[in-house]
Order: sequence, then C-alpha cells, then structure tokens
Amino acid sequence: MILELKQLNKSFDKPILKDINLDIEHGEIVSILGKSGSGKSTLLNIIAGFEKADSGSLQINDQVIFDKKRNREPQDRNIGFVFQNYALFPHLTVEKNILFGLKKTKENKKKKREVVQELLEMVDLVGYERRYPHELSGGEQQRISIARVLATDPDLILLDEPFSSVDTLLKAEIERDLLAIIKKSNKTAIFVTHDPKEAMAISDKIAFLEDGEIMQYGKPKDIYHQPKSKQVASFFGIANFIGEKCYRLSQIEMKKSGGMHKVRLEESIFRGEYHELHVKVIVDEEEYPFILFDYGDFHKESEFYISLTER
Amino acid sequence: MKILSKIPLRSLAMILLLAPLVPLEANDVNEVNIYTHRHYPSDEILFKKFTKTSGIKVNVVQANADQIMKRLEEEGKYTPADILLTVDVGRLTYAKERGLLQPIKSKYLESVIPSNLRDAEGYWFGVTKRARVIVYNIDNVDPKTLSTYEALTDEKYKKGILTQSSSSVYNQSLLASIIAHKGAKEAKIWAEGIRSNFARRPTGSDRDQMRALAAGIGKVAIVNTYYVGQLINSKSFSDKAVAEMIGIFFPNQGDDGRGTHINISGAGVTKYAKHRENAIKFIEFLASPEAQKVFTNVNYEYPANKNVAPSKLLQSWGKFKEDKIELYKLGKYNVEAVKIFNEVGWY
Amino acid sequence: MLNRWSPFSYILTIIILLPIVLVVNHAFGSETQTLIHLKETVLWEYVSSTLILVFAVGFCTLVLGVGTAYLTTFYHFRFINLFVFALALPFAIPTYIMGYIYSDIFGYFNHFHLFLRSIGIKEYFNVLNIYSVIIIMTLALYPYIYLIVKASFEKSKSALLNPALSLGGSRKRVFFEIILPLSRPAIVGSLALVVMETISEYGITEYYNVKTLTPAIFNTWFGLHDSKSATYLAVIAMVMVLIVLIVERYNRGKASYKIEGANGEVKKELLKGYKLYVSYFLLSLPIIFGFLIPLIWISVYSYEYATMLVDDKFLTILGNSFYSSALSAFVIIVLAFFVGYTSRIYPTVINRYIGKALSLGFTMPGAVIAIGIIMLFINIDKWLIDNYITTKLFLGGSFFTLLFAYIVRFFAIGVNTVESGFERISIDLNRASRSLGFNYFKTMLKVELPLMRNSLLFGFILLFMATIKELPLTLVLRPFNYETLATKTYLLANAQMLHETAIYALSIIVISLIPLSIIITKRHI
Repeated sequence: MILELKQLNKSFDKPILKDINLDIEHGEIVSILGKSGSGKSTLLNIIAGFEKADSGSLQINDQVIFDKKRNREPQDRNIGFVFQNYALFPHLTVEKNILFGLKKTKENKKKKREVVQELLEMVDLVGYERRYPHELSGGEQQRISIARVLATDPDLILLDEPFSSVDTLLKAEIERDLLAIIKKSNKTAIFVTHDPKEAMAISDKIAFLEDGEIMQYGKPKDIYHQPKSKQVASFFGIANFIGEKCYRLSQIEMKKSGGMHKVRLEESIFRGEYHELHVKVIVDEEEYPFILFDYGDFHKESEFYISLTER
Repeated sequence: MKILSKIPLRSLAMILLLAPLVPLEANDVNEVNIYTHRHYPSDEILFKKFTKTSGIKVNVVQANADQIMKRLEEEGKYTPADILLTVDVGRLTYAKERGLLQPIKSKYLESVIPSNLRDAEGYWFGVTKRARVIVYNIDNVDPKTLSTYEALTDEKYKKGILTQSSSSVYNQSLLASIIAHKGAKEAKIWAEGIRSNFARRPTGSDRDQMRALAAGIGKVAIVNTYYVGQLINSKSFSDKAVAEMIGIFFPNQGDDGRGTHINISGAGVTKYAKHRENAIKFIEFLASPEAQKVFTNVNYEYPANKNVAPSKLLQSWGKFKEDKIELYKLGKYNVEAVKIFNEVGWY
Repeated sequence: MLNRWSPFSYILTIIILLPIVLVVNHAFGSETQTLIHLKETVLWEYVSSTLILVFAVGFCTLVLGVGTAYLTTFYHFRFINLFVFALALPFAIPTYIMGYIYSDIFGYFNHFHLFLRSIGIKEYFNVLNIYSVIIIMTLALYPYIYLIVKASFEKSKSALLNPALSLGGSRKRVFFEIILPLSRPAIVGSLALVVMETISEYGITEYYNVKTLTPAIFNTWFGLHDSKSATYLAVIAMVMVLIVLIVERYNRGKASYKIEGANGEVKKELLKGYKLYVSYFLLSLPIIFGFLIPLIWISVYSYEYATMLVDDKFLTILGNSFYSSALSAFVIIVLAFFVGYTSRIYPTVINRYIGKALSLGFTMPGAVIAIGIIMLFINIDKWLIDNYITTKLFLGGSFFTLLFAYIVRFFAIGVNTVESGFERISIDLNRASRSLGFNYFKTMLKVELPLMRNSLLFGFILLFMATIKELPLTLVLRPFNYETLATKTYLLANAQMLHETAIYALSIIVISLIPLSIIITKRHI
C-alpha cells in the first residue's frame, strides 16, 4: 500500500473534509473527482503537506507521515506535486528547473546533465534546456513541470487539475502524453479533476468526492455502471433510471418496432451529430423519463420501442 | 569577476553591520560636551578658538532646544552633556525648572554679565542679546509716528502689522514681558489688538516679514535685530534691496518708557556635568571680549558682556534703552503667553 | 507543526514597537487642563487643517502619481526614457527644502517679484499659505505613488494587457477595469505613505504656518510645556492613520493580486498629434516645478557658496549620510523581507496585520518617536550600568540609536514594497520548492529571494532616499559632532542662511541620483 488515508477530517468555518479513508496501491493512477468546493484540492494539499488535517492519519509506504503527534513537512514526504499553473520557477531555465530538486544530492555535473537529458527525452522536449518558462506553451510547461517532479524520484505524484487550462481540442492528446509519461516512469499518481470524462480516461480508480465525503471509490467502469447513488450516476453522464436501476446509453437499443418497452417522444433537440431525445418510457403502466441519443431518424417518430441489456 | 569573488565580501559586510556597535569616540578626559540650539557660523568659529586657546576638545550636538532638552532630561544622571546652550530666556528658565542645570559660581561671569541677563542663582548666563524691534517701510511710515509696542494696537495700523506665528519663541517672550509688566489681562488685550491689525496671517521667518514690508505689504514688522543685520550683509541682491527699504525703530523709549524688549541666548552647566570645570571655562570664554566680538561681528548680536561694544553696524542703529526686567521672570509667563496666543487666535 | 518563523517576527515587532509603546504610555495621564484649553481654542484649527492638507495632498499626488505612471507605462513617445527617469527626481529634494526654495523664489521681494517689477508689473501675491503647501507637498511626495504604482503597472501590463485586449476590451476599459483594480495594493500602499508623511511633516508646515497636528504637537510640547498632552495629540494622529490602514487591509480581504508570467511583447500605443503635446505638457509640469526649478536654484547658490562651505568636514558629512542611509536601508529591507515571508508562509490573522503595526513609526512625527527611542535606550543603558556591564551611556547617543530610530521610522516603506512584491508571486512556487525537498529557509533563499530581487532593490532605494533626507530623528538623536547632509541643510536653513544650504541639498540630490538611475536604467520600474 503506497498511500493510506484514515479518517481525515478538516474544517475551516464549516467541515471541508469528513472522515476520508482512501487506499492507493503502488503504480495506480487515481483521480479525485468532484465539483468545485467539494474539498478535493484541500485533500490534495493535505496529502502534500501544504495544509494540515484536523484529525486522522496519513501513511506513505507504511510509514506514518501525519497523525496526532507527527506531521512531516512537505520537503520530507517525497511527494511530487504538479501545480495547476505548473509553478515553474520563472527565474530559472528549463534545465535548472528540472535540476532544482536534485541540487541536494551530491551527484556530479555530468550525471546531472544526463538525468536532465533522460527526462527531457521522456517528456519529448529535448533541446529546451536553455529556455525560460515564459517561452514555453502551456502544454510544454506542464511536461517540464512533470519532468521536474520525476527528477526527484518521488513515491507519489500529485497533479492538481492538470488539464484545466488546456485547450479542449488538444486535451485528448495531452492527456494521452501525460498518461504515457507517468506509466513509463512507473509511478503512482493522484489527479484532482472536476471532469468525469477526463477522470475515466486516465485513471485506474476514481474517488468521487462530494461535500467533503468520498461517495464512491472504485474502477471507472464500476463507478460508471454501478453508481451507488443517482447523484454519482448522473455526474458521469446520461443516466436513465427505472426504479433504482441505472441504464447507460450503451445499454439501450432503440427500435422502430418489437422492443421491450414502448417509448413516447416528448422533445427533440438537434445536437449536430445526433438528436437528443427526451422521452417517457412506459414500463408496467408507469412512465420513466429517459434521455436518448438518436443518430438515426427516431426523432421523426412520436412513438417507438427500446430494448435494455442488463449488465 | 574572479578577483571580486576573492574579496571577503561576507566579512566586509559583517564589519559594516557591526560597526555601529563600536562606540564612536574614545573616553577623552580633556573635553567639553555641548548640547546647543544655536547653529550660527559664529559658534563654529568660537568652538575652534576655544579648543585652540584652552586645549579642551569641544564636542557638539546641535538640535532644536526643546528636543535636546528632552534628551537631556531622559538621560538624567548619565548624560554626557556638560553644557546646554540655547536661545531664548524662556527655555533657559524652563531648563532650570526641570532640574536640568546646576548653579555655578564664577566671579568673572558675575562681573561682566549684567544681573538682569543671568539667573540670580547662577544656573544660567546670557552670552548675547538681541532686541525685538519694530521695523518700518521708509516709504510709507514716518518713524516719528511710532512709539511703543502697545501703540501698534491702534486703528491706524489696521492691516499694517507683520510678524511671525505664535510658535516663535521671540513672540512668546515678548508677550511674556508684557504679562510681567502689565499683567495677563492687559497682555491679552494687546495680543488681541495686534492680531486684529495683522496685514496677513502670520507666516514665514523674521526675514520674510521684512521682505513683505519692503514689498509694501503692511506698515511695520516686529523682528529681531540680528536678522536685520543678516539682511544688510547678505550676499543676495534682493535682500540688500529689502534692507535699504526698511528702517529700525526701538520702541518704548523715553523717560516713561520701560525700554525695548530684549532676549538672550545663554548657557548653563548641566546638573550631571562630567566636565564641570571645563564647562565653566567654556562659558567664561563665551563671555570674554574675544568671543563677544565674534558674536557681534559675525552674527550681529549685542554683546552680553557690558564691557564690550556692539559692532559698528549695531552702533549705527543708535543707542537704545533696554527693558531691564530680570529676564528669568519672563520664563514664568511663557506658558501663559502661549495660552493667550491660542485664545486670541494669533496662529 | 512547530512554527519557528512567527516568534521571530513577533519579537522583532515588539522591539520595533517598544519606543512607540513607551511614547503612548507617556501620553497617559495627560493634563486635562491643557487638553481643555486646546479644545476651546485651537484644536479645531489643527484638525481641520490636517484634514484639508491630507485630502488635498492625497488627491493631488494620487492623480499626478497614477497619471504619470499610466502615461509612461502604456504609451510610447520620443524621450520617454528621459521622462521615466526625470519624473522620479523630485523625490530627491527634501520637502522642507523645496518649501524654502519656493518662498525664496516667489516670496515677497524675491527673485520672481523683482522680475515682475523689472517688467513693470507691481502686483504682489502671497505664497506663504496652505495652497502653496499643498502644491509643494504634492510635488515632493507624488514620486512615492509614481514609482510604486509604475512598478506594479509594468508587471500587470506584460501579463495582462495582451490577453485582456484580445478579449476585446478597449485600452481605456482594460486599464480602468483590470489594471487599475489589480494595482490596488500598490496604489493604496503608496498613498498611505504619502498620507503618513503629510501628517508628520514639520518643516514646511511650520515655515508656511499651516497648523496641522504636527506643529500643534510641538506647540503643546514646547510652548505649553506639556509633553504628555503633546504625545496625546500624536497618538490621536496615529490612531486615525491606523484605522484607515486596517480598514483597507480588511477590505482587500482575500482577493488575489497575483500576476504571473508575461504574455507576449506588449506594444505600447504611440502617442501622436495633440495628445502627444498635451502629454508632454502634463509630464513636464511636475518635473519642471518639482525638480528643475529647485535644481537651478540649488546649482546657482551651490556655485556661489561652494568655496565657502566645502571644507575638510564636507567629505565626512557626505560619508556619514551615505553610510547611515545605506546601512539602515539594507537592514530594514532584510527585516521587512523576513517579516513579509513569515506572514506569507503562515498567513495567520496576526501575521497579516503585523506589517501594518510595523508601519506605525511612520505615522508619528519624528521628534515624538525620538522621545520613545531615547527612553528605550536610556533605560537599557541604566540597566547595563546598574548591573556593572558598562559604566556610562553605551547605546544612548550612539550611532546604533540613530540606526534603530531609522528602522522604527521607515519600516513602513520596507513593508510596503516587500508586501506588494510578495503579492505578485504565487505561493505555489514556494510549495513547489518545498515538495521538491527544500525547507522554508532554503526555499526563501532559492525561490523568493531571487524573484523578489527587483522589489527588494527598489525598496532599498526608496528607503535610501527617504533616510538620507531624514531630519528630526537625526537631529536630536545623533552622537556628538555627527553631521549629515540633512542636518547641515536644515540647521543652515533654520538659521535663515538659506543660500548656504544649496551645496548640501545638491549633495543629497546627487547621492540619491546614483541608486535611482540604477533602478531606472535597469528597467526595474
């Protein structure tokens, strides 16, 4: 177990975090997902040591780094932190930024240069040694910031909203690159994000945080398909319910005839590639509101049928 | 750059930082330490002369009298100061009152300084005199119409009087002298009368009053004599022109007059002086003809030593009858004078 | 978590505030009689003059300071570098000297009047009044605002102007809605310095007989011989300023004023046509009246009196001024950096207001603080003597006293420049360094110190220039035979030997110009 959080509590004027328990295995990539104000950034800061929890304990590699008696300073936790705005030192070149954390170790200059080269290769920015942060694009700054963290060989990397300021068009590419870098380096990482799509794309596990509580913790697919509550379910995308049962779009097949349940169209919204249909599904005389995506011409019908596959 | 780095910058910085902790002067026995308000060229000359003739080193702090007196008071028995040298008798009597001075006996001082210019018990001695006189614009005032300070409250001087603000110690002592002679009630009426005849809100220095006078603002100004001397001997063309346009009048003369108000600058030995003998020697030196000549020639002050004649310039203004009141009496009325100024709105 | 930083900050604060505490303590038990007398007679005049002067000078310096900073930051025209430099110059001339010079030029029967007469104009006008004081103090003090606000504009310009313009705002809107609000800490901070200095100014208000609280304090102290009531008035003035400062700090709250990076080369708008000439005219006014005219006056009389006054002592005086100003500016900026860093890493309520408390020394007239300083050191000395550690005054009347006095007096300037510097550096940089393995101290040296270099240098120079002009404390606290350029200037002027002061005033200007030209040519502002 690389990281263990036990019953962390934190409050300022009101409770920010309530009884947080979280275990993370070595090599896992975990997302802490939540809306703004859910307490996710505070949680990350507590793990990094920038803020102090009111109670509870925190272990890394089975060593207690925070509890009632102890509180290790951030510099003694061996945790890397990638900031939302990357926090590159503006007065230092790329090379010196990367070497910043390495200055302590008394390796010789040549060795250090090798490390820089290795890391620049890993983040695909060879030749950028002499540049200053303000000469780099946002994505490049982010990669340097990760290289800087990797240089110190941390046990754990924390990333605070790494994609929040990235152009949506480039997001997928940058996500992929980042993931590749972290996987290549064989590190454990925790992301904080408010974007469920992003969380599902990059994480091995997701911890869904709301109002300072972890509502659900598990693999993306499990959370997506077996959400513990309607709140969780709808946060991850279109969720249609019959009773307590959640049906995702992929479980619903639309048919002009011969389906399981009859459907009445109430509203149709044109979304370009598809029409978003607001319908009522009739099951045992009861009506349930569903949202369906229509890539064909169901929006022209006033009534049609659907079949549901159970998981 | 290589060479630069070899200089032990850190030790250099440490030396510079720690330097203030090292006391500046060694314990020099043959010295005299002076707190002075006076900052005239004449004094610099005299300090040098004194060291030359006596071999005693003179150490000086010049600051505003009231503040340096506060420093003296706070330092108490540990003060390094031996002498307090200041202008205005009000301050000298205040210093005595606060226990900052000690009495000294000096046959020489008692013989040359008239008794009205020194403290009866020897706490302080006047070393120079200055008269607070009326100056007038020679173009629009006939000096024959001038008589006394009191006459200035007359209607005919409406919008005609120029003088400094009430924070001037010389105005305070002038009013104190009127309180001493005539009582507070009369003095208040006088201050009120002067204020209602102001040519403008009091502002600037004594020199500025005379400049305004020369410019045709007002008819008369109340100023100290040595400022007139400074104007006359100024290197500045305009100041000389001002000096040519004004005349000096000594008020309250005649047999029934009490005489023109004079003030002094004076010195006293501090209560806890460490170099008492040197201090007495220094004050005696200031009263000596040699020093008195410097005061009168360089700074246009009247000598306090009765055996020394004023400078030629001062003599050219004529002899005048001085208000002979014992000056220490004025000190008593200083606070009252300030209160009266505040009450009548002489800002 | 053991916090080893705050205690240091607290101890420093206590030491620096001790003299002020002693003074305030002194004010207790004031004779009510004196206070009643003042209330019945002149107190209203004191208070109203103070308020008028503060509002008028505050408003004028604000307009002039922000206006000149704006024109020289966001526009381009010929000779702009010259203007950027020259606009800071009036700061090198002590306020009271400027007051004396203007009365010597424009006063009755002085140069200007004689000139008017020579061309047949017989009109006279009185310059020794409150309006002149407002103008002169504005000219002498606006560089505080100009320098500090311009430094802030420069930073926000490169980071924000292009992004904001790309969002489609006009330059004017971007300035008023983004840049100006973002510069609030700098504007308010520098304005506070102006206000504090206006209240505690003595030389010019006394000479021009404008009865603000400071001359009133002296009137009460020296005239009425009631130092307790005098300090009581000083405490009133201090409390007024303190309330303003705290309200401002509270209102600012947790708003962030951080600006990061630079977004592209900023193209300054080229001024053309009538706008150019109007700008030249407006920018020239403060330079001509705040610097050139006084400089001409000073140069003429320096030349005339140079041989008479430049003797062997002159170099010593020059050295004293330089050393004491440089040393105290250095110590203040280091301590202010330390305090600022502490409240940055431990932003507790106390730490957030500690800078304001340390600024108190600037709100009181120097002569009043001097009492507190004397009391403090004499008491320490007495203790030392009673315990047979020393035999005579060791601290009282030493150079150390003077140095300490400067620290108490000018900490406000240090705090101000350091705080507005720190506000511009994201705390994430500090956190990044720590998570990379450095403790607070090493982080300070490796991250904040280099990033704050310009702010610190800037603060150092402001402090240097303020200290070299400092008068009331130096005058009364200095050791025997210790002269600075400022004491020399003042004593001569006070003895009404105005023209003789020129050479010393010139030296102050020249010495101030050296560091000033460094920051400006290095484009740190």
